Amino acid sequence: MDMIRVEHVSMCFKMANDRISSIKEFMTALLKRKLKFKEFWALRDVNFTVEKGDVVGIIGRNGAGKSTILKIISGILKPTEGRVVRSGNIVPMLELGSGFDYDLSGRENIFLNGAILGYSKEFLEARYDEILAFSELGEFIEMPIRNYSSGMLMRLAFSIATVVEPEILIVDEILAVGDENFQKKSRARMLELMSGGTTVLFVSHSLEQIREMCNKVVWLDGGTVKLMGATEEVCDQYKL
Amino acid sequence: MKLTKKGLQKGCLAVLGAYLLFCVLFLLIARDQIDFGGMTQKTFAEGEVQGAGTAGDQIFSVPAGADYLDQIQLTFVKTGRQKQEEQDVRVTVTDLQENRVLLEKKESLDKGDDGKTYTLHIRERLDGQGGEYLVHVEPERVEQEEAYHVINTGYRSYSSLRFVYLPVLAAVLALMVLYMFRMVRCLESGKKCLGTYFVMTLCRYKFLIEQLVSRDFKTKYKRSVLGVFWSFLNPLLMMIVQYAVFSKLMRFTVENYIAYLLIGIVLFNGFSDCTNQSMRAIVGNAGLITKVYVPKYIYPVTKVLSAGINILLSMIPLLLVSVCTGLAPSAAWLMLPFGLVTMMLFIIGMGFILSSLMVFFRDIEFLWGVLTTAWMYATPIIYPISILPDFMQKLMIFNPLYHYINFFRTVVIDMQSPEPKAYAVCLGIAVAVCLAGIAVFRKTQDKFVLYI
Repeated sequence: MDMIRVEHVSMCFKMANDRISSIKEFMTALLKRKLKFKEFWALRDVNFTVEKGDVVGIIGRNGAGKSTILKIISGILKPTEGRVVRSGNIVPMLELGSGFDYDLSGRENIFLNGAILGYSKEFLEARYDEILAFSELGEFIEMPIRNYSSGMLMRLAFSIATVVEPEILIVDEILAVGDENFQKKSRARMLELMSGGTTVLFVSHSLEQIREMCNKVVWLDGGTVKLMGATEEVCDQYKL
Repeated sequence: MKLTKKGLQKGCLAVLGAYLLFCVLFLLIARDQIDFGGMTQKTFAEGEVQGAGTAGDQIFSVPAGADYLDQIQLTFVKTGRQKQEEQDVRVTVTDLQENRVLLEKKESLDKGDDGKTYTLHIRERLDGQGGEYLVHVEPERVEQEEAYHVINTGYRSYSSLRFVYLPVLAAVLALMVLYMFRMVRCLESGKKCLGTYFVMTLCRYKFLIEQLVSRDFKTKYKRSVLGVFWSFLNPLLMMIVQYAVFSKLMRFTVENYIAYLLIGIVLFNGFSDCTNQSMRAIVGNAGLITKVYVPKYIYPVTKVLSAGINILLSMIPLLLVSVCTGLAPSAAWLMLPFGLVTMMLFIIGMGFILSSLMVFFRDIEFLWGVLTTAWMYATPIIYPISILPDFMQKLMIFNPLYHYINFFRTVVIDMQSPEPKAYAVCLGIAVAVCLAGIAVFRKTQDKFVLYI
């Protein structure tokens, strides 16, 4: 069954000659006829299909359009042309700790972050202890997170992300950060999710990780799909 | 949280129930306003009122065709040493045709209140033949009698709008029921339907809305000492300052100046506060918008709701102070929620427009500050509308806040329901601005990500 269908997706960004952010600047530029924008096509006619249970790796050079295609699939960006058909709830992990509010305590942020990812109050309350245990934060959970160290923040963010049971999981290079312990934990959790039949879209620069976890790979180059197929095939061909 | 058929049906029944309750209350409380047309004020010339200017009984007459006696206005004339004394008087208005007392009210005349106008609300249905009415003023302390003038009377003629409003309300009810059946059918068959989509989104993100509202509300007062108490204190302090400055000027033209001021302040400050908060809804939540997909409509709505809690809280001192200054709670207060809800819809509409403009033009923030200050002076908050020149009074109908503030003032100060037209205007403004806001937001929302 098709979980995600990307159909003829193109994305065009208008590069402002000057960053226009106020009425005065807009009027000035309008009068001076400087309102033309240069166009940058980040993606052109991208097509691919992801089936249920696939773990798709997306590889390519920096600037190839990987993060852009992920944002379009997550619904954050609307493509200039084309469309994406999704059939499942998407949990994006584009950055750890998205949605954290620094004035609130760790506990309040767990609920806020969980709510943003689409989880209900009952679900979060039931899994609260599990989250707390995974994060190993103990009594620091009651402190406002502006006082946390970066390691604590990462632990908190990842432990919220671990209790989710998404149908589609989108991961954008977040596994590259953190100390070895954290990397081990996160890799273990990812494997657990994948064996559970979750569909995963996974961006990484580490071919090792891709070969380990993915069954299909999409190679993006300059905004188009250069090659798509089984992991072995594409990774062998992939030369930076 | 998934939307089930049962849940949708229960929700629909609840909405229908609330609507029916509103209709019933409206038809009951605004009965006088629906049955009778606008008020005609007749100012009495010299000699038209028997005994005018003395301390004795005075008789005034109402012409045939007057079916409803709304009010009379008196002014007391103090002479000599009376000027310095406080006095309580009891005013009685009697219908001479039926020999029946229509109104008995106690007024206290403060010292120096020479020339001040007192409005006595009679609100009696008449038989339409016209007639004579007796005004009798009894001082509470025997030695001092007060000379007074009955200066004008207000009455209305029968012109029932019942046959307009009943069908309209019934038609709206029928439309609502039909649409709800359609929504339930859509839910079962899985077809796309705007109403169902809206309710589904509400259900799905209910927890998120609660979380965002509580987050905004908590962070607003986290750093302050007084915290939530500030919602009570702010309007009261403003009112005290403005009352101290303007009361001497406005005493003779505005009755119940304290309540008059407070209503204007609470509502206008609420509007100003809510719009300022909601302006930053998109820009302030940039972190969320660029990371996770959530329908962006939620952001301005939650900001308005969290600031709206403030308005609700400041209703408490508003109503308390009104009661303390002599304006008793009346049945008309049940209509206040209608005014509040329509005003909140209006503010949400403004919030959509402002928050989307803010993304593209960051200086809207400053412009809006200036605009709201000008708007405040353009709205009769401190002054009564009567001191403005005629053409400006006519232009005032284009000021949405004037309508909302007037609605509240009619309920609290006049202690009666506003005209049915006022309900329609309040609702109309709310719906129009909300729709405009949604349209603007919808067109621009896809570009937000690129600019924040």
